[in-house]
Amino acid sequence: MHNDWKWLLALSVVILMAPLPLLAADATAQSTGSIEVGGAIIDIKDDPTRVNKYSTSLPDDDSGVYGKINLDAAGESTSVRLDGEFHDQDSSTYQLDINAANRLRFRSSHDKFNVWLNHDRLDYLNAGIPSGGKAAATLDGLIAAGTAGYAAQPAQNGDGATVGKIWSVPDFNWLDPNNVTGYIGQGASGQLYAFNPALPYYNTATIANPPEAIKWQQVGRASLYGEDFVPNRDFFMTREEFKNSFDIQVTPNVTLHFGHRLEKREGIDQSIAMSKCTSCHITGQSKRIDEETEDLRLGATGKFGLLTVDYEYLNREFRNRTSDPLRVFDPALAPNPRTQYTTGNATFDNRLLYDYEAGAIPYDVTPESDKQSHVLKARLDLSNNTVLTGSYVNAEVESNKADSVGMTVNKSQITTQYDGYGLRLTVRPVQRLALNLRGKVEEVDTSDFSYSLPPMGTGSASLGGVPDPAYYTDLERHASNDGDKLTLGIDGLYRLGRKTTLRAGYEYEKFDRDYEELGETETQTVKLSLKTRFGKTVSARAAYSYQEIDEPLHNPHGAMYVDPVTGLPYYDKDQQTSGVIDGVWQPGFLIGSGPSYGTDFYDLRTADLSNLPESIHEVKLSSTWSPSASFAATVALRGRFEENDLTSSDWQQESYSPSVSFWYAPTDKLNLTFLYNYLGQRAESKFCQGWYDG
Amino acid sequence: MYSTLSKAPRLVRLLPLLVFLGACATGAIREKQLTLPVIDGATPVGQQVCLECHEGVGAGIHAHLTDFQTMGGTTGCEACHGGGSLHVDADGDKILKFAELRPEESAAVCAKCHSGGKLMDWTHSEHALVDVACTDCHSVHAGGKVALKKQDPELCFDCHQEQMAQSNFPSHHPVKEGKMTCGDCHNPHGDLNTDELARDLCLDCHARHQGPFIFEHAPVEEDCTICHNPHGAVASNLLKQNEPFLCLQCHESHFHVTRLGGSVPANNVAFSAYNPDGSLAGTPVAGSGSPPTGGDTTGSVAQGTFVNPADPPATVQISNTLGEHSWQMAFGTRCTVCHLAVHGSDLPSATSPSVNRTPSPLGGIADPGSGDGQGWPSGGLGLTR
Repeated sequence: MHNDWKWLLALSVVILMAPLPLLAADATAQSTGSIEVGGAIIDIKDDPTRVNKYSTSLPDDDSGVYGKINLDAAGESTSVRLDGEFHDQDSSTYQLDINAANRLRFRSSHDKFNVWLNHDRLDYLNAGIPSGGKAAATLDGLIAAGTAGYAAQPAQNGDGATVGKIWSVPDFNWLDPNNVTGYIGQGASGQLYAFNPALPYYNTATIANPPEAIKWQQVGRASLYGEDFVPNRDFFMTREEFKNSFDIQVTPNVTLHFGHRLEKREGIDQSIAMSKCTSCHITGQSKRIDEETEDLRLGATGKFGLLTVDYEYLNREFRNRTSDPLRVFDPALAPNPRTQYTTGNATFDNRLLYDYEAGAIPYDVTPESDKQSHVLKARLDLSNNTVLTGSYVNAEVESNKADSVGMTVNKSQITTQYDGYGLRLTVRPVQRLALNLRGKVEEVDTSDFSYSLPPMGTGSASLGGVPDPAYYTDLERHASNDGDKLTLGIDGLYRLGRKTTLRAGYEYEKFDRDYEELGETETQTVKLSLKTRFGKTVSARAAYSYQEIDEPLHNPHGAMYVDPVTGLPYYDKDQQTSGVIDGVWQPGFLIGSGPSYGTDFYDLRTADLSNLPESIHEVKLSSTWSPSASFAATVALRGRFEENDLTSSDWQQESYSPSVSFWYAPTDKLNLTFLYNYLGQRAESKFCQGWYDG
Repeated sequence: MYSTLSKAPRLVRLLPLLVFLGACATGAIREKQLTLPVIDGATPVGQQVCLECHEGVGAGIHAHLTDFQTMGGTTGCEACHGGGSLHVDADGDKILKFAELRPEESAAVCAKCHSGGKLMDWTHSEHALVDVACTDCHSVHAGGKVALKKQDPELCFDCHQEQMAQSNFPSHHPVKEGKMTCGDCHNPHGDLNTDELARDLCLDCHARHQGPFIFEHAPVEEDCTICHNPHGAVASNLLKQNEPFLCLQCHESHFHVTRLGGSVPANNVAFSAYNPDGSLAGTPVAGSGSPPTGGDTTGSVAQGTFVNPADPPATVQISNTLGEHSWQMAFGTRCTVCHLAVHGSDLPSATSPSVNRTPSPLGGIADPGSGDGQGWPSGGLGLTR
């Protein structure tokens, strides 16, 4: 726990006390206050992290008392307001607002609450595990020949039938890629065991004659299994925010603003890691959360006749104070450093950047960052309700980088720069019509850098060559969101009658990405809405919008390798089709094996995939009946249809959301709301299964 | 000092004068130049006259504005309601009543003073464009926080009822718990509470995803709402859909369950570096012999040596423990179990990526250099750790 911000609490108290003499001297000062004490009980039957995520105490149920306090003291020119709500030490809210003659305003708030985080038990990751390897007799001989302290006995089930064989072994070092057991385990005494079940599969839980109680771990090639090392731990985070702001009116037309915000996130989170090129072995551990975001804001507002100018500077530091979680990754077996690609092995090249030989290495690391921004805005009010607004925004985010196991980077810091220039004009050419014209240019630029990886293994000689290390050196990285964005828009609001308005709008947006693979997105939007009131009690609104998006952000070549000769997806069994086709050389991959097993053929996939639409139609209808000031009934309907038709794939989504609500306020102190909302959403997309991958 | 000032640009030298003039006359200038609703012929009578009939009205901040704040403009009730002379004579009529003004008229009156900060963008805000008036949300005579008729979010939910429902979905921001308000993200007098890209608003609190990262996920950089619905969702973590379906809209699936009934070579198995209790297991030692070549290496099973991979059986039968339900389980698997750094990472995958195929990275395959030039991004990035 870092307490270096607690001086701010003391400062708050001092500032709280400061206006009291003013209030005491003010003969008209009035003060009011209220204190509320209550209790709450929550009983949760479902997963508490889903339905009781912000519970104050226990994850599965919650009960306790709470207290609320409100104090108001106001004189003619000075007021103090204090609100507080307390549930327990991990959930409380306090707000203080002091206004001294509108020339000095101080606001302070402290807010704290718990968030229960997901705990993935990883117990469903048991698919596709081979039941064991070599025949027991083969293993028996092999293990006996090379292992000191070897002992073996048949394993039987409850009926006395032999279901496999159990070996007690001094360690697991005898296990190499060419010796397969179904399970490895450790007994209550610490003795290590291997179990080779009778094919195809046998459940270790039903072994009738184990030497002792054994905790088994299933192993196998091309398997997927998870291990939750902290199955009984609750994961949570406490989020705490302390915020202060001062506004000081230094002259009647110039106000200075100062703001400070400190956000802390502390707790325990699940930290998942996965070994590759062995089984997909997923482990769940816990890691401490200790993050801090500190904002400092300085600004000024000046009013000079018809001109209003606003400036704000932000300095943000995000710090991650936890030590990085570490993992010893599994020994890689398919391939591993000893089993490069050979035709005999029928496996593939070693493309591993690290495995267990690298020792304990960090994973699930949250990088720190610094941000600075400047926002300058100006507004010019003219006669005839004409308003011209201009803005300039500059922001820079920096994050330090370093080499890590398996990679070197050529820069110690990456910077993202944002510049935005905006101009808006509101005019009223005639009294009934308001027109808004707007334009904005934005530029995002992240520093280019390169990284280098260890080249693919040298065991590829059997296939006729070793990959050129140069292909793994200085790999350039371009940020996906770099580019220039232009937005132009026009909106009109026309008053058809005293109580009826028609709104029409058009917007054009073009995002020209620097990274050409992701393309250039053009968006055109049309909006129409009609708002009216019938008599004094009924109002209604109808709105329609249409968007046409050319080349939305998508995953290019995201799926479907199609053999260029046969036209069949994923089919090139004999690797016979390499050659130049339509002027483009095609290598004719042996899918599912061979040296290119993995990702090299990703570039050859043909389908672009995205959940972003190329067209959107949306309709909104709503009507409110309010026969008195204390009652209102509203019906509303929203319908939305989105679709895209990209290369070799299409996607569409329909959403319908009707709702009805009633609001009734029998007294000033009591109001009741009843709302029913139905959301129906259906998405349809092509599902692509890469048979060749994994 | 004098010489420094004399070298400054003329505008800078005029700045103190502008500040002084602005301080003295801003209110008066705005009242004179702006187009405001008026009652023709009405003149100010002073607030005390108003209070003779309207006693008790105006407990809020607007009742206590001083000349210091109005900067030469009209003070008291008439600053907003216009001159009261005709109203006094007309027995209750002939005064600016905000309930009867058109939204743009009432906004023009408010903008006499409220033209800075978050109010700077009002005239082109979505609320202004759908004919919402200041007095629809604010009760100017009342006190309390920014004189709202109700507190946020109840006030917003009066119209935005679908968002009210979404705030009660299983996954939601703590709005209904009172830890957040709509105004934390939205500027009701403008757009979002950011002047940068929309994602920068989310990063105010979720700074851990700020980056920039060495290995990034393009939609994270583009817009958080590609995957998340900030108002609430049925799926966990505010995701628009459950995993893996959300991910599969942009990515193809891969899963070992598809090997149901197949067989694989027996010469590769997995071995965890961990014991089932999470402690480190005995670590296998790297081979001391030569790597096998051509499938004919022989040796013992002692640690670090190799056995003949051609020994039978050559394949291992996969018996999927889930049987015909394996696909169901595949659809119940979260992609982020393996792709855990979905928001970006500075650490590489366990496997090196394939690189751009121009020319081919594979020395074993001849590439005449006529590759198609594709590459994502500069080679597949794969998993990050």
